[in-house]
Amino acid sequence: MKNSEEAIEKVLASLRDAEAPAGMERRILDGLEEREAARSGSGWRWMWPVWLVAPGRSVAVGPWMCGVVVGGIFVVALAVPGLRRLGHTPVQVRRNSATVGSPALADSGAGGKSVDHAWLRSSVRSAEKIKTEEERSAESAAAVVDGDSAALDDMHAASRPAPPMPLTEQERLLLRLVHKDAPVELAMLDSKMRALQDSEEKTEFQRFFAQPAKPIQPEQPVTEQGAPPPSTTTEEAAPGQSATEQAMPAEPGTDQAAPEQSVPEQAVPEQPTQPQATPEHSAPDPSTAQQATPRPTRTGEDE
Amino acid sequence: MASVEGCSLALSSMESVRSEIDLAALVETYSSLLFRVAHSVLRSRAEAEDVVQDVFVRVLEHRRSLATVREMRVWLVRIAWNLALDRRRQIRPEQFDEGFAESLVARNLPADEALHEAQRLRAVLRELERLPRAEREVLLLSVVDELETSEMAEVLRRSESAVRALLFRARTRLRERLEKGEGKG
Repeated sequence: MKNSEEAIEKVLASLRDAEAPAGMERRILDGLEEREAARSGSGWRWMWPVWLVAPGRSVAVGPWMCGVVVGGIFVVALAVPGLRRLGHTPVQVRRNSATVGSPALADSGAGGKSVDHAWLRSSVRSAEKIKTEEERSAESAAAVVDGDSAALDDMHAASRPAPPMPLTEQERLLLRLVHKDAPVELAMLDSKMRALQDSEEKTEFQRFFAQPAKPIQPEQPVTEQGAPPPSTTTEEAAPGQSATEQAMPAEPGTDQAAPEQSVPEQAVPEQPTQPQATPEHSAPDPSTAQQATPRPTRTGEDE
Repeated sequence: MASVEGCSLALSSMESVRSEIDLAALVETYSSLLFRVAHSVLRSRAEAEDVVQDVFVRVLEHRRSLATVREMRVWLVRIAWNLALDRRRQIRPEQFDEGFAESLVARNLPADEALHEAQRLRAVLRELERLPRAEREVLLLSVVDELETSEMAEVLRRSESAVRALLFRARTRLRERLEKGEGKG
């Protein structure tokens, strides 16, 4: 027991008394400095010259460089508007120099030794030319100023959507092709419109067949008394029927009988089966047939 | 402008100088303590020195928040302790035990006695490694004499009573196991 306790104490004591290696602190500090230098160098110092980022100067140069950078930004901020102003002036300066130079030229020409007319004319011409150039440059400067102001106005103007582009010829043709009779088709979808159209057609139909009925009215008994045509088409019989309807007062029995006799077309094919059904037998009936036959046609047209 | 720049220059230089002085003072004050903490876990001088270096790198990284640290000593010991435990997972401390045990044997002993003594110390270290983790950690941290129980409790994030109980159990268990081993041997 004593041995084990001694061994434990000895081991723990040796761990407790472990001494740091000589120079460990120095090595740690050196390592920290290197690490700090590497970290700061990896940031923004790589842009600076070596003499600025030397380890001894890092403390003193940093704020100084900050001041320099801030000062540089300040100077640039001051200089930019001035440079802008200078950028506009050369035109005026050139213009002024031209205006100043032309009289001088003219004066020197006038005050020269050989004052001949040709030279004078040329100088006058050149002066005029210069003057026209001046005017042109002034106009162009004014145009530039106007353009600038227009551009500024455009820039400050509230933005609005662009107007729609006009259709090309092909697009218009396409549109016409696609939307052919579209309003009519659309109107046909509307039941009211359709009913209105139907009623209009009906009234038009009635008006159309009613107008010739009046002159026919006195002739109708003649046609009825005369040999009636054995086979009258519904179209031919229709005016007569309408005439009889409008000419004669409507009998109470005919209107009621009409529905019953309104199927002669269905009954007619059956007549050949009966041996007595000859045109002569059916001759007295045409008046009734004439009265009865139009109805289906009218209803058919109405439908 | 120049005076302002000069003033800021002086202030910044003073600040940097102060931080450098602080860091140097920290290294000087706590490096040996941190070395012992790391060495108790790793039992290798080179590895322990690397851990101390890493501790001060961390300090450098958190230089701006140093003012908020209440107990610098405990904070540094905790960093060193955690870093040593991390490194312990990467290396096997048992590989250093043989050399460490031989270094503890007195040089004036005869060879056979020195061999026997080295084996005994190696057995202690081996049993130390076999202890439960909490007991082993408390025992190893208690090696560092300068740490009080409250500081140990703060580093290990346990209560003081738990630390005392764990320390007692660790020593008892280690002693029993060594005696049992001696009895078998």
